[in-house]
Amino acid sequence: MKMKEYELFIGPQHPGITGNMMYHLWVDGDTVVKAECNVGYLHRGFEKLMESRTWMQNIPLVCRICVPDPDVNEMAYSMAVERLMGWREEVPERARYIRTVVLELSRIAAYLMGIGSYAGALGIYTLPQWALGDRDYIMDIFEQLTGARIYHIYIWPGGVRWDMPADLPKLIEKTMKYLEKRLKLYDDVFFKNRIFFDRAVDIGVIPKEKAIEWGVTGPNLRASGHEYDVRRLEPYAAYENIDFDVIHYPELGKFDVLSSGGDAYTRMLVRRLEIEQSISIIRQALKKMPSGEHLLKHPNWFKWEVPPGIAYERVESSKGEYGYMVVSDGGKKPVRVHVRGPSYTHGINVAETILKGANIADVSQILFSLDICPPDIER
Amino acid sequence: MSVIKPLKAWKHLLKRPHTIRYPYQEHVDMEGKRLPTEVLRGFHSNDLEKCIGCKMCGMICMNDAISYEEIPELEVEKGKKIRPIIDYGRCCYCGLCTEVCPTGSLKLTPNFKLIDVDREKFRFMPTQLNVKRDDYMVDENAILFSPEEYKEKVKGNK
Repeated sequence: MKMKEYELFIGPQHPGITGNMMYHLWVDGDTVVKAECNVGYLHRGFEKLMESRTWMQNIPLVCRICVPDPDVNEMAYSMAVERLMGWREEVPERARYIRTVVLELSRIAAYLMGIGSYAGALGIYTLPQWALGDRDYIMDIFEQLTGARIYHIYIWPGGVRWDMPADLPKLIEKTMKYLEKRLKLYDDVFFKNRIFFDRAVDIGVIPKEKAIEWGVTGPNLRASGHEYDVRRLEPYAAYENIDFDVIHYPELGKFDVLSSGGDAYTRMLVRRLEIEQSISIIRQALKKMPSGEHLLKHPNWFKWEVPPGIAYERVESSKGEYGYMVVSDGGKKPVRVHVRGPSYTHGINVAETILKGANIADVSQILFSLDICPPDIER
Repeated sequence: MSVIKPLKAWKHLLKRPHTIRYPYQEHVDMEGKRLPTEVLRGFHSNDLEKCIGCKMCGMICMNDAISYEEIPELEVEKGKKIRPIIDYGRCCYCGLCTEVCPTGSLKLTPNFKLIDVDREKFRFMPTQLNVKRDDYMVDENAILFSPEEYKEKVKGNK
């Protein structure tokens, strides 16, 4: 008897998967016929937990929704609380710039991790070691700025927790210079590598006309050819005073446009170019940073009542567009917090669609090129 | 596109390893500054004389990491003799307890090293927390083990 299709389970414990999630594949020979996302291994009930905690107690919780890029959560939640409190315009100017620096540093760290794990999925094991090693220098900056390496708990409603130390810009500048030097080496070893080109071009294509319909955001959408960036459309923090271009296909700077866009190759190049862009944003923010206050005065945390209303705030994270909807009834705790995680669409709908027709060997590189972060699928 | 250029990675064969051999080797940042600095959120320190036993830290703690114990030896009024016990199995080092402390007695120190196989050791009693924050400052804090000391420490706990 000839077997036509067989089933394959990738994850939740598999080096080729982007975290604690699972894909159930139906395979015909070497080709994926159908893919089904299976999540639930990482559910910690964030949204429900937030309803039983006070406004400030939620801050140490929200950053845990995305481990590689935690600051966007604090930022979006704080922005929503600020909106409800009517603090939107009052946030000190210095705090806005410090937030920008923190968010961009976090973005670089997340991209380095993403690029490293993607290269690992292709079997180029040099880059994961380098990228994670270089990411640690950014962790060193965070340690001296925020007091923690991963979960910073630094961006608070009304500003930032404490001021930036006077000697830190020097360390940041030094690290940025080092990263720029390393990126050239990354190009030689990976981004201009023939193996990367051969493996990634026209793999896992998200067509331009389908991208918006499928709910794709962030670098994945920009790689499909849309010029879309929340930092540009609805500037938050200090992005309105900072000069940067939205990197999108087919404007890939120094890299030649060799594919038709929307594939794994373009997605990784967009991430690579955005690291350089983030470095430039950090430099501008440090240069323009004014002196002054860093945090608005909070009411007593135990008695803090936020005026009733609904606020939705969105930020651009390294994975895509992050949104927080916070509902208050005027009490000491939020009534409902809803998190719009970018990986929800990327990990479930988009991945299931573009995995169809892929080879088994390409499954993990497609998943890593989408930069899926399972915790924000199942908040 | 190139096939030859990736071979540049081979030049790293002659370089020293990128990783640090923790805990035998010091952790320094790019400018040579020793880490952790005093900003790091590690274990607490609580000045028992300054603490008034108001239980604010326990109220803000969302992980229930803080419980209390009465210390009869303290020379204060009868109702004010309770002092916090911190369970580092539950603590997430967010530091909200130190922000709400009205007297400023509860602080975070940059000390974070605790190696033990006994889980009771992760509950810090009030007297254990009664250290001056300056005692934990980086230079004194950075106790780095030699391989022998480390083995001895792990062996003793078996």
